[in-house]
Amino acid sequence: MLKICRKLLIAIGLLAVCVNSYALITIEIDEGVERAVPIAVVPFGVDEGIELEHIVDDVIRNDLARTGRFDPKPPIEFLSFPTTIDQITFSDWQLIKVDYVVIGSVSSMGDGSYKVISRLFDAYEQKQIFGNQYMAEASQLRSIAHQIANNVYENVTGSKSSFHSKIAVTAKAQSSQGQPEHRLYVADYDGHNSQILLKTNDPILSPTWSPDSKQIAYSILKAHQTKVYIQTVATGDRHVVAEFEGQNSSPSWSPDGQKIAFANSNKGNSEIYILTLEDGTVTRITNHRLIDTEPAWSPDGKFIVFTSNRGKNAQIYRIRARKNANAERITLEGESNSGARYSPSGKQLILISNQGNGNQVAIYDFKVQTIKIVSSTTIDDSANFSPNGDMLIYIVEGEDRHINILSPDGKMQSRIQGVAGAVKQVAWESKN
Amino acid sequence: MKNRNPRNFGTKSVLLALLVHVAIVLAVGVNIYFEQVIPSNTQSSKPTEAPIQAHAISEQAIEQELEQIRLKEEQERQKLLSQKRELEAVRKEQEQIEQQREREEKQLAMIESRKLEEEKRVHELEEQRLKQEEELREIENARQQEAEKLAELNKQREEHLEKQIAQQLAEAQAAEQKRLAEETKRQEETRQLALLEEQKQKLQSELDAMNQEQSNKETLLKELEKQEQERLQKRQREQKLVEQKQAEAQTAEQKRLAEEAKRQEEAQQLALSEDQKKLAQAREEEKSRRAEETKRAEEAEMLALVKQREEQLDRQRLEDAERKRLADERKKKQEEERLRQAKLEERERLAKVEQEQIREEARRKQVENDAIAAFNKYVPQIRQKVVENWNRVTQKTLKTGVIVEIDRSGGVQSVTITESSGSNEFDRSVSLAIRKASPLPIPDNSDFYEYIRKFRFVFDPSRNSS
Repeated sequence: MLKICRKLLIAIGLLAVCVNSYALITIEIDEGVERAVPIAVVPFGVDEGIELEHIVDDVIRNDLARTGRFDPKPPIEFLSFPTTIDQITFSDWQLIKVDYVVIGSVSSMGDGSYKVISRLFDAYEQKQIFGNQYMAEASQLRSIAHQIANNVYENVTGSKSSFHSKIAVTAKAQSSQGQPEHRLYVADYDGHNSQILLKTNDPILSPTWSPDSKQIAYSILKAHQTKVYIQTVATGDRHVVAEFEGQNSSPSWSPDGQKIAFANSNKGNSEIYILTLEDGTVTRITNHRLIDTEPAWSPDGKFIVFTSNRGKNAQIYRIRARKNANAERITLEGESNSGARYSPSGKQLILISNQGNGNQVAIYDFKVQTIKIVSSTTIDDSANFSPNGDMLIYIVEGEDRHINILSPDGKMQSRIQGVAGAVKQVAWESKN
Repeated sequence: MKNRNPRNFGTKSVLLALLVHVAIVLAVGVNIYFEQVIPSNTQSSKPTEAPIQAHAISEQAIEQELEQIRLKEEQERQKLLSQKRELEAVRKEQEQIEQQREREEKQLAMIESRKLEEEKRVHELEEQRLKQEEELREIENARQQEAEKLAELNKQREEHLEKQIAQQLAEAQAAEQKRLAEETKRQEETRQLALLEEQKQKLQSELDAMNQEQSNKETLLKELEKQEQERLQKRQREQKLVEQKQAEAQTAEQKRLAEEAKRQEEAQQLALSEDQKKLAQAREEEKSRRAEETKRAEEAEMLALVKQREEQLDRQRLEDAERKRLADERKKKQEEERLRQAKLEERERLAKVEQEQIREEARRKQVENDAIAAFNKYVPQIRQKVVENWNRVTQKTLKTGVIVEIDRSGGVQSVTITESSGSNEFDRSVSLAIRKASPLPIPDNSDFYEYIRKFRFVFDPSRNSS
């Protein structure tokens, strides 16, 4: 009995020690930093003798850098250039302080197709996060590169990227006969793979994507009247949806895809209307003696923001998307604010703001109710969020009209090429 | 794009050099061409197909033309000069590029060497880490062995004790058995003694009976003697009577008397011999009786002696048994005492060990408390370092719990997610933050290491957002 008791006592003692060792000190971390993730995209190994039009790792680096959420280190800083898993030395990457490493290779399959292998590593955990293999034609290599960049983005940030999304761009160019020509392009978000959807002698204005990205609406100014058209991207078929008296301009697709908000000026000045596509009925939303234009839907479809000069100069107002609602002024700062569009989260607006330094891309935050200028250029127009909200796109006007992509904090700015002519307006699809 | 690809740089410079080359070749070519063309114009050896037209040209015009030519030449010279200058500039630029390249190469070499050094250092660190791990393992092993040894010792001790007790028990049992055996023996002896006593009594009774018989016989003998005497007296009387008669009738009777006497004599003699015979027989009987008596007395004496000896023996045996019993009892008591003492000692020893353990535990607890107190002072620093390294790239408000194990210098050895947020990316950002914060600032006291080598982090930004 005594023995049992003693044993029990010892057991309890041991248990107490065990329990003790598990009563660990806990440190709570409730904050962090928001910095671009340092990442190394190692130049992909390419079989000798292969000449590629696009360098896969360049595309990946550019994609990641444009969001501002990644900081791809220039290859000149690299200590080694692994292309296969057995060549990677993690200390090389910890030394140059990168969190992640992307490696890969492109090899020819002989029949004109290529095999692309890519891998993502955690440089500190020292393990692979993913490994993918793709077969692609030469023309698809850019798309594969975007796919790899997307995989990296998803695996690090936990959300989808917009590297695969499309933009619609209007531009004024020269026809093959040397005549001025207005074009509507559809291109990759970075301007590559551009295709002409429409060529016309009349100016194409305010392109806007349907929520399913299958159609684009725009207005065309012909014979002093603008009409709203809808064009199907896949087939090129198009038809007029608004040719009411006066100017029919600035179409904006509702998030459910069933309505289009637009501006019409048949009552003397421009007002906002909603057109139901199924039956063609039209509802007037605003009623003011001064101009109301550039409507844009909130992601939940409940509100429409628009530009109005009812308060002396152009400002942004918000109104419920129904009859007889009251508009409330949103922007209070600056000489003028116009061209507002909602962020995908609905918490912000992107707009063109003039705070005295010219027209600049700015972000209005509904929570803090302030406008923050994000672009460094001052002749900006036609600003959009990317489908996931982590990039901005806009037109820089002037002699050298071009498209810029901007990180939402304004730190990463890059000019994109690939669309011929003097670009006028740009619209980023909303479907990710 | 802000990132200019460095590989394009070389290409660019080569292109530029090529361009300049072409320009020079072109310039020289033009020169040569002109030099060739002009003389060919002046030579009239080749016929020209164009009709010759004569013009009257004024001197002024000629001068003007000359002036123009001179001007042109001057321009050309200027152009050449500028080309030369450009060339010079290009060469300079090339030199600069060359220098830059050299610089870059040098830088690369430096990076390379630094890399090598770093690699070496990392390698060393790795080795050191491995060694430390090895040491740690060894310590762990040693501790385990110690624990095992202790357990073994305890077991041995217990076994020994048990064995001792068993032995003692066995001994006691054996003693008891022996005692019991002795007891039975003693009983047996007593029984035999009783038996002997009985025999003795029997013998005594026999003896008594014999004595009785003897005395009977004696009385009989006495009676017989008395009867004999009486008879003798009677016969004497009768003799007297006869003698008287004889005297009376002596002469007549002398012959008859003689005959009578002779007959009587003969009868007397017969009776006498009969008596004598009887007497002898009695005497004989008496003698044998006497012998028997002596023998019996001797026997009785002998019996008494035997009895005495037996009694003595018995007494001695009893005494011996008693002595032995006492001795056994004493021995048992002693044994019991010894056992009790041993138990007491063991208990005391165990109590001591326990006390030692308690003391050790207390000491340990004290060190642990000190370690935790010291560690707590470092928590803000650790926290700061981790916060600085936690890139909230996922922008999600989730919660992750991890257990971190560090080496003696605070280097993060392992990060184990114990409470996942459900998001791989969030969890990874947490693990990355801790690994990047390595080495963590910890108290510089190796005694504390055991208590602080493992601790927990909870990453929970929701606590901050409220």
